[in-house]
Order: sequence, then C-alpha cells, then structure tokens
Amino acid sequence: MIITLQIFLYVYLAFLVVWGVFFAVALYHMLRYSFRSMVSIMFVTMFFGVALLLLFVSLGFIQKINWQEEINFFGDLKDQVAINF
Amino acid sequence: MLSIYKLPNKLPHERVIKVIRKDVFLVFIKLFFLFLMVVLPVGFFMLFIKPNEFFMSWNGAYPLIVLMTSAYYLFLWLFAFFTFIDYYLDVWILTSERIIDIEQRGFFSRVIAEHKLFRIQDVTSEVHGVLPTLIGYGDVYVQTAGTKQRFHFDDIPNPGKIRDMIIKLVQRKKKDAIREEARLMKR
Repeated sequence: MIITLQIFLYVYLAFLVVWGVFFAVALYHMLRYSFRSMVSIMFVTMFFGVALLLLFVSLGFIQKINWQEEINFFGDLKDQVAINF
Repeated sequence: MLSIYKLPNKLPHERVIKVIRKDVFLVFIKLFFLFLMVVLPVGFFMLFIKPNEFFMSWNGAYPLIVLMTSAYYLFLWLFAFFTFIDYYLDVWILTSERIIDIEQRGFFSRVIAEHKLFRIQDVTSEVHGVLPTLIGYGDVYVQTAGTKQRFHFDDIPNPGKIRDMIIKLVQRKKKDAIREEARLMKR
C-alpha cells in the first residue's frame, strides 16, 4: 500500500489542535483563578515559554522532511522480510 | 487573576492568616515520575529502535520518530502543567473570620466552600504512614456545627501546627462573640 508521508503530518496536526485547546484551557485557569503573584506569573511564563520552544524545535525538524515522499507500507515490509530470511 | 487582598465576599476587618496548599513533597514525587517519563523514550530508542536496521532503513522511520517524539514531549509538558495547576489552584485560605476551601477538580470543575470560624466545633489532625511521618504531612479534619460532613484538608504540611492555629483562632473568635454579646446585654 503506497501512501504519502503527509498522512502522518495530518494526524500530528490533529493532535496539535487538541493539545492546543487543552493548553489554552490550562492557561485560562491559571490566569483566571490563580492568585496575582510573582510565582503565578513566573510559572505561567515558564509553561508557555517551554511549550513554544517545544513547538519551534518540532517545527525545525518537521520542515526538513519531504512530506510529499511516498512510502510503501507492505511492499517495504515484504522486501525486508525477504532480505532478512 | 485573584488577589489575596480581595477575598471572595470579604468581611470587614478580615485578615488572611495563612494560605495552605498540599505538601510540596507530593509535587516532587510527581516531578520525579515526569523526569522518568522524559528519559524513558531515549533509553527505549537506544535499546530497541536504533539497533533495528529493518525499521531504521524504512523511509517512513525518521518522519514517524520526529512526529511521535514531538507529540510525546508536548503531551508530557501539558501533563506537567495539569499537575502544577492541580497543586497550585487547590488552596485553603485561613482568615481571622473563616476558612475558605478552593478546590480544583480536574479542568472544568471548581468548588469554593467557606466555613465561619465561630461554627467550628472540633479540629482533628491525622498523620498515617512512614513517608507522611518522616516528611511531616497529613490531613486536618474540621467539624462544623450543624453539618454532618467534615471539612477536610488533605496532605498538608505540619497538620498539627495547622490544627493548633485553627483551634486558637476559633477560641479567640468565640471569646470575641461572648464579649460582644455581653456588651450588647449591658446596653
């Protein structure tokens, strides 16, 4: 079965949407219900900053991949099994 | 954001005595597991994925590893955020007039309850187990007049001290109430 790598990317993007919604809800809770203090501001900044960093690092790796490339799921598997045995 | 100086339905002359949260040790335990979860996939990759030439030679391997690693660490970070929120937004505020219990139950459930100090009848502290005894955290139960349900502070640091503090505040509040009543009777 031949598919393009793009399919994996779409699944990942769907995950990102769900993740983004949950992260936004978490952020809202912190901003709405936590006490106004340096600790709250520091932790909100830290969680937001590291999340952005993770997203940018991921983006850096994702950009380097050719997502138009086709992969042969079962064909490759058969070839590899044939080579191994 | 809330302000500690602007309590919900603040009473006249009300002062914040103590803001109580669960013991930090419990957060450290969760952080330790989180650290294990961060390191685990690296070991898994080195032991099982990298030596597997069959998988590594497949042209879909690298993109899959990139996406799954990214998703995994993003999920872990969100989990860390959830853990922090659960700790940080679960709070008991002890004031000179009442005890305010703010409980964050998951993401879309938040319970705020308050108990007037003059209604408190009985305060109990409990420490069970090896770790709570060594670290010094436990539970405090507060029984108020007219309610069957006990008010519960769980896994808080120094439960004995907190119990003493509540008892002193309750006694002072009751004395003030008696004095006020006597003053009114004299009139």
